[in-house]
Amino acid sequence: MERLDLSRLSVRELNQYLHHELPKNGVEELEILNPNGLHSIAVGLTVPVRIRVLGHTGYYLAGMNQQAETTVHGNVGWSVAENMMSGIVKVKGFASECAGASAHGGLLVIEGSASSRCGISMKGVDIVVGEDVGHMSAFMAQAGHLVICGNAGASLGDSLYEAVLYLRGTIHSLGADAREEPMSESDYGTVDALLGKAGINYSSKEFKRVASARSLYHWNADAGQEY
Amino acid sequence: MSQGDTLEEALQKAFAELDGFYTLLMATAGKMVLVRDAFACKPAIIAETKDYVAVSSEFRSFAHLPGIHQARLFEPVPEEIYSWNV
Repeated sequence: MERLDLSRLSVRELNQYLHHELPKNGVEELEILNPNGLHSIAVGLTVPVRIRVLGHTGYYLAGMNQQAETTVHGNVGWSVAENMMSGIVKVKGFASECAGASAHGGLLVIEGSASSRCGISMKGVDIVVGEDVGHMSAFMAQAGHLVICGNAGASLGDSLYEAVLYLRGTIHSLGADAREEPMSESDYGTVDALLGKAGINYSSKEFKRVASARSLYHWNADAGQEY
Repeated sequence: MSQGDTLEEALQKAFAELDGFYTLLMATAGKMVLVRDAFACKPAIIAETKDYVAVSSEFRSFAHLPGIHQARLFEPVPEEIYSWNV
């Protein structure tokens, strides 16, 4: 297995290797050592490589990811897997703010808690959080699924579009236009499938569904900015 | 505090007075206190060990502290008062 040590390489050298050499040399598995909170590790990957990051990372870990499967054995900073298109990003510890921001596809798994604004403006990604999420999670989330195995902070799903949220614990408060809805058979199937992919053992029967009431979809001149 | 409030009581009142984004780290002779505003737009992280408490905006600046890999790392929750006694 290939090992790349960030105490010897700069992040720029690492990412240039991942972008330009890796697609040609056929390495399928590698480890990144000593991330030490550095930003932008393994961003913009386009090949189906499996990466293990041993330690805590900074901002934008695996941003814009395509195809790669990255596991962090530690915590991650802001905006992990932001704008991910496909592939898998797994975090063994906790994630700071804006996890999975604007991500279009793929699977993001955070085994611990995610901080505020998890899944902000998500556009098709599936996110599974093993514990809690902070306030304003799934703010303006447009598509995809956010599965929360613990509790949610204030204003969950504020200004939601068509993303669907599933929550096992309690909700501090719902955001504007977000509402609880009954679970259907297909919802149970979706939650079971995502928990299975994430390797987290809960029954989908414990989850509730939160989705958009769609009352903000059309401008209402009579609302007087009161929603 | 000059009117007799404890640091925690003064901070609780400050939440109603202050507008905008802030992270406050304050110390008296015997105590250190940390609070974030309700929106928590600015980053913050805490590392606790038996020897020290460290506060920063990101893990990067903790990376080379002694014993950091045994530290309890967590993000402060908005509008919650964290305090440590000397």
